[in-house]
Amino acid sequence: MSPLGAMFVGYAIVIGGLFVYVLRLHRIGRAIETDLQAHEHALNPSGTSGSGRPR
Amino acid sequence: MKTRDWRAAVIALGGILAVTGLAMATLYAPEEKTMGDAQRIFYLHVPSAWIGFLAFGVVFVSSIAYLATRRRAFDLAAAASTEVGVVFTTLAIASGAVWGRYAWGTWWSWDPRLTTTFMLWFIYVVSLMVRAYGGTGNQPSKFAAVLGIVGFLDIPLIHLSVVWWRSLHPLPVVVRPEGFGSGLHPAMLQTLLVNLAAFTLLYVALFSIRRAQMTAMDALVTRRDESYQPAGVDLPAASLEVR
Repeated sequence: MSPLGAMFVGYAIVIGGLFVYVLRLHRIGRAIETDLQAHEHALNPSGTSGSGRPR
Repeated sequence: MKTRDWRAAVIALGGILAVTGLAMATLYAPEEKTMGDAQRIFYLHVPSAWIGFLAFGVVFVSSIAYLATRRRAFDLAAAASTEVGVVFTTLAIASGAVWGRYAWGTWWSWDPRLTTTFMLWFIYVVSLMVRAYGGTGNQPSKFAAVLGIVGFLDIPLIHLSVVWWRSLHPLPVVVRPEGFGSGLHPAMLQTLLVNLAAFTLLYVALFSIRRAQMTAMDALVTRRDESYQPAGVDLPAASLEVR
């Protein structure tokens, strides 16, 4: 492995690893939002709030 | 300032610093005599390792606070910081392996610095597994808190391992008795500090996001448990008859 090659592989591992983790957090965040919406829908299937207006 | 606002500001500032740090590492920092460009891995490898230590420091404090008070918020903070710390430590080990392959001719060696770092990583991975598969109730949190405290005691050992024992790994060049950064060219130290600042901000953002997610998941599970009704409770009596 050349010095420049080693440098780029090292950079790619750190930057790529962080990118994958950020992507994972993004997916988890979306899954939580979907779960929350499903839970609220299950509690209130008509989709109306106390005021009678659609939520 | 709302949580999302400060988090966005931290991410933006961290991003600017990360791009600057990467440019400095590639273009500004002088080339090292024996290893050439391969030594530039140092500017990402060392901050990754240090932020892992910072994350495990947060786990240490949160775990003590959790065991003392049994407040769920401390447990969630410890869980979030453990995960982020494991990510940074994994990146430090992986980037170090590439550097080692070039400098020592091997991806891995059971030398004191590498072995103690592997122990640290392993302890916190076990802590994550205890949380994931340890069952319900407070028991997994308590075990994970104990691991979080014990694991942190390995960090001084990692730092001193290259001083106490013969090691392939270089001696400390930044934190040393002769003075902070005395083993580095000034431009190298400046580059390292910019990258360290970028990684610190990234840690703050990732930790905050993960902790918020864990808190939301926790609240959701609690609400589900509260609103849960066993199947069949409201069923009409006729449906329970056996044919």
